[in-house]
Amino acid sequence: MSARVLVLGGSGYIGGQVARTLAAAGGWQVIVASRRPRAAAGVRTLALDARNADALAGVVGGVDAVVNCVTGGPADIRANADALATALRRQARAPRLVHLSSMAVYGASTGRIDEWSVTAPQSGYGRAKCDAEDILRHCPNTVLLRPGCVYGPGSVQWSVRIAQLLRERRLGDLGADGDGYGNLVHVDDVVAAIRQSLYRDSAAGKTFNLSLADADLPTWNEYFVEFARRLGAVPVARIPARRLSLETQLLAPLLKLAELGLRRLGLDTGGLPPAITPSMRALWQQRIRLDSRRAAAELGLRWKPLGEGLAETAAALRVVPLARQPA
Amino acid sequence: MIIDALELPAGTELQADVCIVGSGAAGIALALPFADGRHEVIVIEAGGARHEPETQALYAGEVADTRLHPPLDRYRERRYGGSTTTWGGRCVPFDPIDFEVRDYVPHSGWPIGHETLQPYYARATQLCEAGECAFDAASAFPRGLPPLLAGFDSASFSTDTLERFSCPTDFGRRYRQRLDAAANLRVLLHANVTGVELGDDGRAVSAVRAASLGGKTLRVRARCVILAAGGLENARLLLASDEVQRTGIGNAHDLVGRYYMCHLAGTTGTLALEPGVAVRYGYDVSDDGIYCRRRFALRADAQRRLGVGNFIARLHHPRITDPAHGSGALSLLYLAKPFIPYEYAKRLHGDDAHGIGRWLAHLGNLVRDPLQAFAFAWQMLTQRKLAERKFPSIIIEPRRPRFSLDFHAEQLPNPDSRVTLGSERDALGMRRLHLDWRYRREDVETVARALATFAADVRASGIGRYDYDPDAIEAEMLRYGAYGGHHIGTARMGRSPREGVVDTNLQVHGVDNLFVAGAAVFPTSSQANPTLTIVALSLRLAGHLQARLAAGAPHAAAPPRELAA
Repeated sequence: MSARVLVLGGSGYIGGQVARTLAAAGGWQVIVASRRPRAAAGVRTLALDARNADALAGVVGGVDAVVNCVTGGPADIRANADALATALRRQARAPRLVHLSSMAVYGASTGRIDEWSVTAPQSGYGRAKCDAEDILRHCPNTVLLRPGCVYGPGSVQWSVRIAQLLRERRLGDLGADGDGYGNLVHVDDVVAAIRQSLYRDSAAGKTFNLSLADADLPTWNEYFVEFARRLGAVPVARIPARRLSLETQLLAPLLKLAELGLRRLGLDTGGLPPAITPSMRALWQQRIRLDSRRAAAELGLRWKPLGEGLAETAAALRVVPLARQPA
Repeated sequence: MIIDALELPAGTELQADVCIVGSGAAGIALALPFADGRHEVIVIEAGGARHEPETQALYAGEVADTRLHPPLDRYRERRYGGSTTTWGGRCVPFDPIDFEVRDYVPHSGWPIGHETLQPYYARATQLCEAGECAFDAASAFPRGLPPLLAGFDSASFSTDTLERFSCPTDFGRRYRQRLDAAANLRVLLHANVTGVELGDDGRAVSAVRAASLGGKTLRVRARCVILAAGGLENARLLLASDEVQRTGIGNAHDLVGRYYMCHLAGTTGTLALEPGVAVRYGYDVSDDGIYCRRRFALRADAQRRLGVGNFIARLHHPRITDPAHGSGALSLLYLAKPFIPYEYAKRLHGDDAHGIGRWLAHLGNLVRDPLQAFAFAWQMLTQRKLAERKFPSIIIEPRRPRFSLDFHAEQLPNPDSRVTLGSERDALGMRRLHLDWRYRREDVETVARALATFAADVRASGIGRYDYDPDAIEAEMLRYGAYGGHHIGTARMGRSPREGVVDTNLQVHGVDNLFVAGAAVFPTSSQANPTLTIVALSLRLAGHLQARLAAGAPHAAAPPRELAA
């Protein structure tokens, strides 16, 4: 009989990929739980509020492993961690927990950052992720994963929106604003890390950074230029610093207002153009390099090369190159 | 971090592993690889964050023939960022032939080959913000480009090489955050280096002495000292530091300040094309967003056959000062010259007669052709003034297929072309430079033979004619004197102290911990503008210094060398 794994937040981007991959690989009976589960082949779906300890306790008792991909606002993140910890404490035998945290726990740190570096979250999101780690770290049999910026086919934040911004020439070469390191990690590598964390006994109680090897980390400028070329969004634009200031200080707040307005009216916000927020701008300048050697060594991961990952991502966006073909 | 030396107590002594004198292209390219590393680096910059007239005045000097060379406080900037605050941004690597010993060029040949520098050009191009290291049309434009000049069939000229343009990047501004954020880097502003002090045996630098205009002094002691103050100032510092080595540091064989080269440039002749001959005048933008331009480059074998130096030429608009061009846009430029910086307005003045008649003729062009002038002004505003990546130069499509040719040629090394210390002193008591730039018959020949070959190839291709006055070449290439801003060769690289001031690692022969970065070390000048190669050499030097510091090279254990003093 195969082991049973519960994927919390299984309708999300990473949760969905994990559920599909585990189901396809065999050896796992996959249960996907989320507030509004979508039916998917080979998995059992379950409507569940992952902030509710009682609801969680009823499910985690019957599984061998839990993958926690729940995200949301800071309050949701904390409530989910509290509820999950409470539910797990009620179990006689703790299932393996793989909890997806974030590099946001390192805040504005710079330089090479390994898993022993102090956490110094700055954003509300980062502080909530940090609190969630603290809550869950004390549960037995837990693995914490801290991915960098997850890109790949379907990644809204670091691929789809970036592609749109590149095509609209709102992003490109940012000069000094893009000198930070892009601590990118392909979604397949995150899924692989989760799988390995489920299998390996030695991973329990450990924390792992997930990102490209630091020698291979591109600067954000390099990422944008390379991605734009793969998308055929050429020639790549040079974005003046004052244009970025307009984006972050004027356009982004307006888009936020528009989003809130549309929400209030119960309308779809998907048609709004993506915003470039002040926190994105700060991240693109940040000279932080995640040291992911521990994950590579102990989880046996080989990071997908950026060029390969971008080629797949661009292909998935089904782009007709804008550039002229040879005569 | 960036520190103003004016805020340090007088008489401060600072220690570091590396002391870099100058924060221009050479100094910053050298400092950046050390950022966040384990070695302490101090960059000493004479100026502040902005142009300051009193500081800039320290650059003034004497020019032997003012018709041949601009004043010494022009075309270089004594301020944070150095002359990258004013450069044009043209990035071109040196060609393999530039490194070779050419029997028809006395004093030619670098002690390092093209292959030694090649690995550093990619990173250098990136630092200059000129995109990928692709300097031929085929690799930069994989989908192809229409020909530069359709039907031009020449065994002597290639039309495939590219110049790529930097923003142009002001290195000081662009890399300020990174320099400022690195805990192991200190950039000292307002610290004018007034001397390099050697130990008693003259074999190593003991300290670098600096002073502010307010009269404060400070000293920096470092395991390695690198002069990166520009091609003229590096020579001045070596010559003026004469307390121990009496003829100046590294000057035992009277090489410092000699072989001073600029480039030979000018605009001449008329290329008149047959109707229907396709020509690509201006820039092509590569996928990575870089303005690129092809030009007519004299191939290496043609240089050897003709026995001349390296040479390139670009299609160019007619001379701006002559209203006969009838172009409203060009006349607008003529009329706007009071608003254009000196370094770029030179060609708007020229040596032609000026007067109200000429002015009126230009005004007439503007009135007859206001649309072209307006379109041009709009392009200058949106793609140059307001853009961070600036449209590199003036491109005005002519009404008829008529172009002039803008050439940029190698100046061959000449020991009699030199800078020495003059008798006057600057406000800090340092002797000012005396500059005597010379060119030779062979330099005129480079241009003459190249243009003759070009004219013959145009004619033989049946696409039109290139007409020029062979007797006016010398006058044309000297119309504005030596090309401004390229200060090359004053501390040339050579295998032995007899052949050069610095060795292949850019270390001053006989002085164990003193190095020179910048165009001063180039033994020959190429057709290429120097900045990209300056940056590449700095990156190579950074690697050498890091390896040396990591090995802990103690001064005393240095192998014996020929005494330089």
